[in-house]
Formats: sequence, C-alpha cells, structure tokens
Amino acid sequence: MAEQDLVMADEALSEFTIEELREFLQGDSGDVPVDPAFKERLRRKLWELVQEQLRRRRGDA
Amino acid sequence: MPRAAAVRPHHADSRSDLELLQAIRAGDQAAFNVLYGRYFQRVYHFAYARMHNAADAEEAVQETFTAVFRSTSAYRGQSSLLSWIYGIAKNTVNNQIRRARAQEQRVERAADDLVRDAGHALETCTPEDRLDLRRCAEAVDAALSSVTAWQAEVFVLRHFEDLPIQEIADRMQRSNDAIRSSLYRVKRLVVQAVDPELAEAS
Repeated sequence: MAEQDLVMADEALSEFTIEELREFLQGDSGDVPVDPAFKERLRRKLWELVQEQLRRRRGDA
Repeated sequence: MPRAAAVRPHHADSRSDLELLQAIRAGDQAAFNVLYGRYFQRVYHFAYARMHNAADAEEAVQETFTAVFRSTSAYRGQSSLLSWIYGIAKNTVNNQIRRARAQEQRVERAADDLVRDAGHALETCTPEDRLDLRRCAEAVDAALSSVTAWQAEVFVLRHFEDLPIQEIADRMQRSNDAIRSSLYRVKRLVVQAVDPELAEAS
C-alpha cells in the first residue's frame, strides 16, 4: 500500500460531526448528475486494483 | 460471478458494509459492486457540492475510492465503514481544494512575471511585433483555460519553474507517465493555438 494511502486512512479517523455524516448519506438522493461512463470506468479500474492486491496478498502468504 | 448478483441494485443487498468488505477481501466481485454502488453517489455528491464542477469532483471521487480500496487491509473496524469512507473523502476533497488554491497563486505569480517580461519586450519591439505578441498571448491564454487546473499547474511547474518530471510527479502525486502525457497535451494545445501550421506538421 502506498504510504500516502496509509496516511489518508489514518487521517480518516479525524473529527467530524453526526451532521456531516448525515449530509454525506443524503448524497444518495441523486440530484447531482453523474457521467455513467465515468462511474463504470472507475468501477472497472478499482476492481482491477482490488484483484491486484488480492493476488499480491496471496503471493505473500 | 453469478449474473443476478452483478445486476442487482446495491440497495437490494441486505449485507452490512463490514460483511461486504470481508467478502471483497475474499475476492467477491458482486460484493465489491454493491459496496461501490452504495457509496459512489454519496462521495460524488459530497465532492461536487464543494468543488462545483464535474472534472474536479471526478478526480476527488477517483482519489477517494483508490485510497479506500488500497487501504482496506488497514481498516480495523474501529469506526464504521461509513465514517471511515467519509473521513477519506473529506480529507481528499480538502487536500484537492488546498492544492487548487496553491496552484492558482502560482499561476497568478507566473502570469505577473509574463506580463513584466512582455512589458520589457514591448518597449523595444515594432508595432507589428506588438500585435503578434498580443495575439500569441491571447491564444496561449485561451489554450490554458481549456485544460483542467492540475494540467495547467503541471505546465507551469515544468515550463515556468523548470522542475524535473520526477519532482512534478511527486508533488502532484501522479505517475511520470501521467505528467508526460499531460505536458504533451497542453503543449500541443499551446502550439496549435500559436502556430496551427507547425502543430499540423508535428
């Protein structure tokens, strides 16, 4: 894992309020238009990333 | 992967976030699709509300999810996955906004330098040269306004601050290839704007 991601994962536990989380959940309402091609492209890319990590972990084991 | 699982909407899956994460760690693509679908709109909406444009929001979403899925092994379940992902999204967006502000300041400084240098040049050149210079400046300005903020920053770092590719890649947290490709694209736009014949020939 890149060091930067580790830092981000740690920082992710920084402070925020319930209100902020509630606002985050309201993002489900879907009133912001999303490019479906971008969403699908990113999904594929991330799944490749997950698979690569799984392979690496299995290789390490 | 079972076909039905691939097309099932994420809200129809009753598994908790943690259960999905465990399944993903075991290589379950359907679980990955559900978790991604469950959080994509939330992260996108969050980023868009703060950055006000699709290109920057997409960059933040990509960076957020990459950090999430790269660091799933670091997730210890001390907080809910919801707050963990929210925290990563918040940090990512804040960092991106900070970088954009710093970039704007750098571009402003570089523009000031350009204007000063152009001022010196204008004092010594002919009226025809001045017209050419003005056309050239307008063309470069138009070309740079059509690229994203980070691409303009890469161009400024390389051509105004003379930084090596590796250092720019480190600063921008992107690969050397991404930096080279961005430089090529912006350079081509600038050349096309200033000298279309030369761009065509190259």
